[in-house]
Amino acid sequence: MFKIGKSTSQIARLTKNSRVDQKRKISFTFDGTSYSGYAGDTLASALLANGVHLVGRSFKYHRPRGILSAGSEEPNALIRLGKGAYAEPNLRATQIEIFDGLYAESQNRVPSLSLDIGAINSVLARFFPAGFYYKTFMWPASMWMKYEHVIRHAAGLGKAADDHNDPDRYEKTHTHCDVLVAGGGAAGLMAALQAARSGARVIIADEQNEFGGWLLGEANISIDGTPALDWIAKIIDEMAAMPNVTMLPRTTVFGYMDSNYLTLNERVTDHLPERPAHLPRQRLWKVRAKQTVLAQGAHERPLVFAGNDLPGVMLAGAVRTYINRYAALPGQRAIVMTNNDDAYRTGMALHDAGARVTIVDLRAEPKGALIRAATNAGIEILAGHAVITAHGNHRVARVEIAPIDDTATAIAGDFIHRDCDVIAMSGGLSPAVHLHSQARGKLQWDDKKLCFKPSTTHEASFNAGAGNGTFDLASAIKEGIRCGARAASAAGFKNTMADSPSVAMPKQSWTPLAAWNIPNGHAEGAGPKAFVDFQNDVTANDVRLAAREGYQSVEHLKRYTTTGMGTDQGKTSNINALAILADALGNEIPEVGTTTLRMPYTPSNLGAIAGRDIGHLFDPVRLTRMDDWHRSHGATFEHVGQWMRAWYYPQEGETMAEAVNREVLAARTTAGLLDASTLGKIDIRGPDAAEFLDRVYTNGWSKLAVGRCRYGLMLKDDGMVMDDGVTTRLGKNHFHMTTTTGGAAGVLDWLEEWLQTEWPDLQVYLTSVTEQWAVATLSGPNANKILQDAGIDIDLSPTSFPFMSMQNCHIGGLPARVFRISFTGELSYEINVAARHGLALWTHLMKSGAAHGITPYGTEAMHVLRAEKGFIIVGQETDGSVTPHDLGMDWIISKAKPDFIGKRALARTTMAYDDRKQLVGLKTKDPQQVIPEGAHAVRDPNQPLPMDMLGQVTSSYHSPNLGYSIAMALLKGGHNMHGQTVFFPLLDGRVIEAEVVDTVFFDPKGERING
Amino acid sequence: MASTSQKSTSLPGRTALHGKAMTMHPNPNSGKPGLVFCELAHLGKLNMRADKSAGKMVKSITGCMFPPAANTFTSAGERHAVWLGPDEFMIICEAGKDEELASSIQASFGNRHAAVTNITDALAAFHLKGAAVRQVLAKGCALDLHHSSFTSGDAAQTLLSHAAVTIMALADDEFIVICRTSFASYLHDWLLDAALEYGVKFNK
Repeated sequence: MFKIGKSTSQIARLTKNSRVDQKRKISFTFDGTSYSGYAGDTLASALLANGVHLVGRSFKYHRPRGILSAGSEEPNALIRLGKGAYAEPNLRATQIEIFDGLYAESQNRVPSLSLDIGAINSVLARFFPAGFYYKTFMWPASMWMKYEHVIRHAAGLGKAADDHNDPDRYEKTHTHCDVLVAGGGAAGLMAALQAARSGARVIIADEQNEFGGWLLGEANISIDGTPALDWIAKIIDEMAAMPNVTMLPRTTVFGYMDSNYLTLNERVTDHLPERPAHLPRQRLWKVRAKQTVLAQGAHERPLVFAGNDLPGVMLAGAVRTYINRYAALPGQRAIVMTNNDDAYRTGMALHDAGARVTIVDLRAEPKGALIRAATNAGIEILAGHAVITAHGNHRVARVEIAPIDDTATAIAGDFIHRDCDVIAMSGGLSPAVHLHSQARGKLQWDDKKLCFKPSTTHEASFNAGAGNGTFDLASAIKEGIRCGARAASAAGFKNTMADSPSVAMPKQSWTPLAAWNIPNGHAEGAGPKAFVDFQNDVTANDVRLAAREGYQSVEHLKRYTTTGMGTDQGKTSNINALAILADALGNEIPEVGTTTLRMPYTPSNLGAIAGRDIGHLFDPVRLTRMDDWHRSHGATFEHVGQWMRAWYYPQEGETMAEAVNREVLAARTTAGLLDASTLGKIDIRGPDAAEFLDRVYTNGWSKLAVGRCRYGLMLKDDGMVMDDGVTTRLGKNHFHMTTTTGGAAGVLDWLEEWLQTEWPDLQVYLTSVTEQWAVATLSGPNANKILQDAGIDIDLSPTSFPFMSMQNCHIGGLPARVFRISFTGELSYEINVAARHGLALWTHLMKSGAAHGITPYGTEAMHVLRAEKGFIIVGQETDGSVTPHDLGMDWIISKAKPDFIGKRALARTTMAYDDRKQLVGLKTKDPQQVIPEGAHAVRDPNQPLPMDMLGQVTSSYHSPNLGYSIAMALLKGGHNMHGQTVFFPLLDGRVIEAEVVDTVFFDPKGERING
Repeated sequence: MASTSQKSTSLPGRTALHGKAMTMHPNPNSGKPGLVFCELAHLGKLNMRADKSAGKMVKSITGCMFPPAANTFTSAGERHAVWLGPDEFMIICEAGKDEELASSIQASFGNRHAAVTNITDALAAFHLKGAAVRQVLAKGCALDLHHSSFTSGDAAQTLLSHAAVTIMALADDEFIVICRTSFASYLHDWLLDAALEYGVKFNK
């Protein structure tokens, strides 16, 4: 017999050996009150040791709720842990390890746990039946938003952190192994050891803070002649010394996906009072396992009787665990209610700890060693009886017990009353088949053990122990060894099976009595509430009501009543709900079936899923080699794909418009310098290179002379414009292609795909050289003077270096490849140097150009300059539905070539329709008004809604060189609209009027190209 | 007018990680940092497109055997030949030798359909060493990098966090990681962060 200890605060603490260290006292705060516990306690065990059972209010009725379980299946004891930005809601008190300074609050109560105004819902309960959302708030539909606001406020689970910036560090890691074992109880440990001894790479993970599973909560079991936990310790020691084993306590295997890919959440520092900055709080493990052994154990089921949700009504196994593992006695006057043998061991544990115990056994004639032991200990046993109703206010205080018939469906005699402060109930065990089911494993009903257990597997996995319905310890250990051996051998590791250890514990039966819904003496639908799902406040009557209303599928039942939803996903409720539904439908349980279990096994922190993919590590930012210069000269930037490109360079006091105007003017009056390094560049080589270009571009390439450049348009096979750029012939079999910045990677993939899958006969090699070259584009009438001052070693006269040609040369000693091409219409050079010299080239040109008005310009000025010339930008003037003809670029379609990508599509009749959206220029009536890009054009701004839409503006700027606003637009039948007026009604009520004009606004004859 | 005779080799050449300072986060468990890394400045890199028949020529010019299998590399001193595809591989050579080597290879092609492209500046290379190097890489790479599965002479083209990389195992605790130059700064930051729990040092 153990005695309650002397500690005044921990009034229910036993003085006995346990897994808590009674020499290490720990203080914590729950709902503003300070308590003490011991190292090794969970928040739940520490509260119970302090005599605290009331820890929460229920979701719908705000009924007082206590601690039900001792593990991750806990539906009631949900806690908000920590303060401010560190606060986290909905954590299970049964899994929170206490540490000094721990701060916890209960949830779902206003203003306090003992006085909760929401409890009025309980009085009004008959107005909140199953499906009450759907029934009550159907009409009028427009009111749903209001209803929802009130409902969400009243209901809801927990409150998120006060600051959405989570200050904690989280990490992710990938790993591979031969055998992953989920669950570190006796079966899992033996599976892992067996596999590990074969040399296989093994990971064993368990959600608890230490390995041992349910044996941590047992006494009086010995294995191989030693206490069970000593035997466990030996296994752990052996594996801890093996380099091929990774042991992960505090780690939940929460997801099992295709191809044996599993996700684990390791709580690395959650249990520490101070979290070291270099360690993640939690780590997400992404594991690819060759084989898995699932040894998740089993969950005990509650019994469904009136008042079964009162604080103090607990699962029998949990009561035993609190006594043995935590030295906390949940009550001194105990009722044990059971339909099986196992709860007798709880009766003995309570009795040994000094509690007065009455065992209420639903079975008429229980027999066996455990029953004899309880009888011999002098424990009162009421066989063939049931607790009909439990009473109490904030904790169970009294029960009414009555004899019941053999099938446990009717009361068969007079009531007996007993006072009590705890009820330990056991409705049998349900294997935790969650991972097996997530991985598309099938389940089968065992009508002796009354549970679903795994049948066939879909992935490479094995089930062992209680999770496989093997509840007997000796058999579970044997199964663990066998599964470990089979998994290792399937992963390619020969091994011989270890001997099974001998287990000494009283023999017990694992055949419970089917008693799903304890009779209450009232008609169906009447009487006090008997809960099936504690977290969602679903009663047995709710399930029966749903059945009466026509819900026959368990999937529908779940959604209608919300049973099995929430943070616990019905770990304690699913089978009871299913059994009651089956009964209500007059059907068998396996015929009704079960819901599919999905990930996560327990809720997983989103922080862990994000890991370090936050802030600047979320997505790479690519910088050009000239980036330092842009930054130190005050550039603003825009994102182009992953690149950061200089947008414009405002001088002191300049607005964006002023800066862009200055840059645009300089490029046409003196000179502008643009960082064009991000353009995609592909080196193309091989005897069939020209033929290849003939097939991927719309125009002809075979006759292009060496050293000459040509603009090309690339189509998808649907005939729509995909990319454009200038390609240069460097040698007979050697070309240098440029692509758009954003399209670079996609174009290379596209071209490789054609080469590898459609044209393997072509001898062509492609190599990306985008980043091999840094590119500065010098544009403007002073370009030649600047290059000469910069020390270019070639003749720049148009006769020796004509437009659309390329020369290799040196500029200030830097080897350079210079292309005389132009995206501005001005005399222009694209100067390529080895990327390492990019910054040197840029600074050298800026220095050399200082006397010639050189002005750096960004992407915005580049856009204006090319729009003045009517040059398109792929992705701005095109959107994947625009043909060359739509763009007015028929000149680039070769009529002579037998084929090119998109040619056949262009021949379709729809491609020639007059009402296709076609590219036009726009000149606003008021030259100062700039039409917003994306604005839609109409013919008649006074037309009643809905108006006929003509199309949209694709580019629009103020042109400082022209002194008026210019735009391009895709308009239906646009090519035939020149001279017509269109209108742009804007959101603010203004209407902008514009004339349709040609797309080339500036220098239509191209007279400026030679400076 | 500046001199046109100036040699390019004497001109300032910047590497991908120019401007990144030496950084040190001590090993929280004392001892050496779990990861010590640096940039292999201007390490020569040539992309080659050719089939196996180029093996002899590659051996005679670079000293490296043709990579014997997919996802492997061969070495000869500081030079390596890395398998990238059935007809694509990368020659890695000493800094400053890339142009010369590319020219010799190009000259040896004759009429063979093959290509060699100098991509020294397009790619940045990291040298990684330390007891925790595999754990650090595993945080961003889904491949099995366990020493029993990814051994010296193995190479892989994969993702490290969000950057496309080529990873080469030189020894149990020593790797080369190659990425596009514009991703080098991101990878530098990522490595410093990922190795925090083991201690990390970035050398200039």
